[in-house]
This record gives sequence, C-alpha cells and structure tokens, in this order.
Amino acid sequence: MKYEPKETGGNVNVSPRSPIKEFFILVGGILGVALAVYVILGIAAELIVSRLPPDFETKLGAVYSRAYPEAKQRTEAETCLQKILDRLQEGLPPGQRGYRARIVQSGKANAFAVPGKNIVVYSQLLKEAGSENEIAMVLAHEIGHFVNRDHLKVLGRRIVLLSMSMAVLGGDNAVTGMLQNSLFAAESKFSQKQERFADEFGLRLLNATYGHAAGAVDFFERQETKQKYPNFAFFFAGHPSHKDRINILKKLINERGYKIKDKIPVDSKIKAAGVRSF
Amino acid sequence: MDISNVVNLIIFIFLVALGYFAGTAAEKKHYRSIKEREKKFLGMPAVTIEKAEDESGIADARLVCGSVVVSVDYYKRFLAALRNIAGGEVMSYETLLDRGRREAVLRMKESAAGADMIVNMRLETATISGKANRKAVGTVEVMAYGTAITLKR
Repeated sequence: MKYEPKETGGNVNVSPRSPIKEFFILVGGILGVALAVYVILGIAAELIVSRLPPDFETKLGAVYSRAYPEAKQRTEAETCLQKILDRLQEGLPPGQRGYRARIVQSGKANAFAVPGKNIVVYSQLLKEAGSENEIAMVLAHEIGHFVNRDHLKVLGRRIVLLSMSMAVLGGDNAVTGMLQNSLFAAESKFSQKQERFADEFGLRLLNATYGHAAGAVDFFERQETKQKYPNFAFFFAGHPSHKDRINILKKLINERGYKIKDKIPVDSKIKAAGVRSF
Repeated sequence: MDISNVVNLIIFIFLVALGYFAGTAAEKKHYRSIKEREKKFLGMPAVTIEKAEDESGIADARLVCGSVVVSVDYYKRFLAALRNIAGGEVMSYETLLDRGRREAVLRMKESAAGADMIVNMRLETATISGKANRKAVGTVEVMAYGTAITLKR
C-alpha cells in the first residue's frame, strides 16, 4: 500500500455554530429563567411580609441588635433625638408608635430603618444637619419605610436572591458571600417606588407635626452637592437621584399648599454627638 | 443594586468583551499557523499502529514528543460556566482542545525531523489549575508522543 498524503477538509471536532449565537442563547435563557423565578418568589415574599404579625418584627429585631448593640445608657444626644422622634410619633395611630432612635458613630451621613422599630442615625448626619426640621424629615422618612414594611420586603427579596445564588453558583462563591453579608446589613437599598412612598409619608408627617414643611428637602440638597456620580447613574442603580427627590418633594409642597416657616435650630446636645470621636 | 455593583458589572462586561476579541484574534492566528504547518508535514504520517509489519526495513527508531499548554480566555470560560448550568455540548472549549491536539502533534513531528513516519502515536491531556481554588484559570496541556521511524534506504 502506497502512502499518499492528502489534506483533510473541514473539522469535525469543532461545532460549526457561531460562539456569539451560543452566547446570546445561553445568557438570554438563563437570565430569563432567573428573572422569572426572582420576580415570582419576590412577589411571594412581599405578600408574606404584608401579612406577618406585628410581633414578628420584634423577634427579628433581636437578630439585628447584635449588629447594632444598644448602649447601656442613652447618651444625651440620643435622648434629644428621641424627643424629636416622639413628637413625630404623636401624629401616628397609637398602634404604630414605639420607634426608638439610636446614634451610631460614622463618617457617613446616613440613617436607616432596622427591624425592631429602631431607627439608626449616623453621627455625621447630625453633625451636618442645619435644623431640627431637617432631622425630623429624615426620621419621618424612615418611619415611612417601617409603615410600608420596606425593610422586611427587601429582606425577603435578599433571601430569594441568596438562595438562587447558592443554587446556581454554589455556597463558596464570592457573589454568594457578598449576598450573605448584605443579608444582615441594615443599610438596605430600597426601590425608587419605596423611596418615593417614604418621602411622601415623611413630608406629610413633618407637616402634620410642625404645621409647615420647612427643612423637607435640606438633607437631599446637601447630599446632592456631595454627589459623586452623574444623575444618569442612578437610573441603573435603582434608587432615585437626589435631584429627582428634591423636585418631587417641592412639587408636593406646592400642590398641597404646605407652608414654609422658620426652622428650629439643632439642639447643641445633638450636634455634640457628631463632633465626638472615639 | 448599588452603584459599586454597576461598576463591577461594567468591569465584568469589559473582561468578557476583551476575552472575546483577544481570544478570537489569537485563535484565528493560531489556526492559520496550524494549517500552514500541517501542510508542510503532510509527508510525515503519524499513525497509531503499534508495530511495523516488517521490522527489517527500519534503520532507526526513537521516542518523540510534543507538548503544548493552552489557556482559555475569559469569554470562553464564561460561556462554559453558563453551559454548566444549562448542560449540553461545551462548544467554547472545542476549539481550545482541537488547537491543543493539533499543535501537540505538529510539535511532535517537528521534533522528529529527518524521520520517515511516526508510529504508535498517543495523545494525553492534563488540566493545569489548582483544584482547591475555583478561580484558577482553565488551562490545558496536550501532549503527543510516538515512535519516530527512519527507514533503510
């Protein structure tokens, strides 16, 4: 037998399909399924949350108290802050009261709702605040999140996301680890709708308590000047830009004919909380 | 979603795109070189037969081997990871292994310069990546070895 070398045409070991097409089929299919599961389970979580008994919130609060341990004694600043919160609470139905204000030392100007009816305010926010009305608006906004049970809804969605990530990527994945950490972090990120609801609720409560709406936009205006990202970035981030929130609040104040009167200066004891370092 | 997550997503998309364009360019270049060299070595058959029928015609026999290590790009790895979820043919790794096998055979032939043919050719593959570390880059070694035979003139 004589050997005659010849070239083989084509390549049976490589699929003729385009890798780009493969990419879109896979990404589209998997994202579609994941999105459907997330939306369905997310809706289920929200439905459950709105039907949870009120004392469930108290039990859940115990889990969070480890992350934000309460000082044995309230500081003077906390007592003063609680007074502002109590004044706001008078405008709420008796069953909905019982919120507690806590100050945590931090360089970030932020405040958030922690399960268990606790409102944590970072010291930097108090240091920067220009008036009592501004602080009251922030507190009223957080009460709005409680009333809408946003913090629990976010928790429900996070559990859904975490279980999906664990199922798909495995338990020792970086993404799963990040989600696990964020599960018990109280600094929740709410949706645009939830923020708008809390803003509107806060504005209404502020006006009902003080008889006018001065200071309602002060906090957001201060944040806007410090803003690092362009406004369009917030579209992708899911929460509204400060500018949008200011505009909506101003529109609401106009529409409802809320008055703007003199602001109450911040109590020096509250200011002191922001200056203290540790 | 946090803004830092958006940044992470952009970085990820950038890496996938970079993997796609750089990987495709490298692959095309490699295939061109493979085809060219395969043509050059067409006269040196490499067969899997174990023993020549008539050993009296053999002047010289020696072991030759060629090995190559090829790495997968970010895009291919991402595609394979998606395939892991859905199941099915891992298309993105096919070209990687095909290139590895053909390159290894070519290097084996290059090392057998002067011989008439290679018999008893075998191909081996090994993955080079830490088992414990899931983030390790998917890299494959392909080795081809055989007996290079020179016939009596």
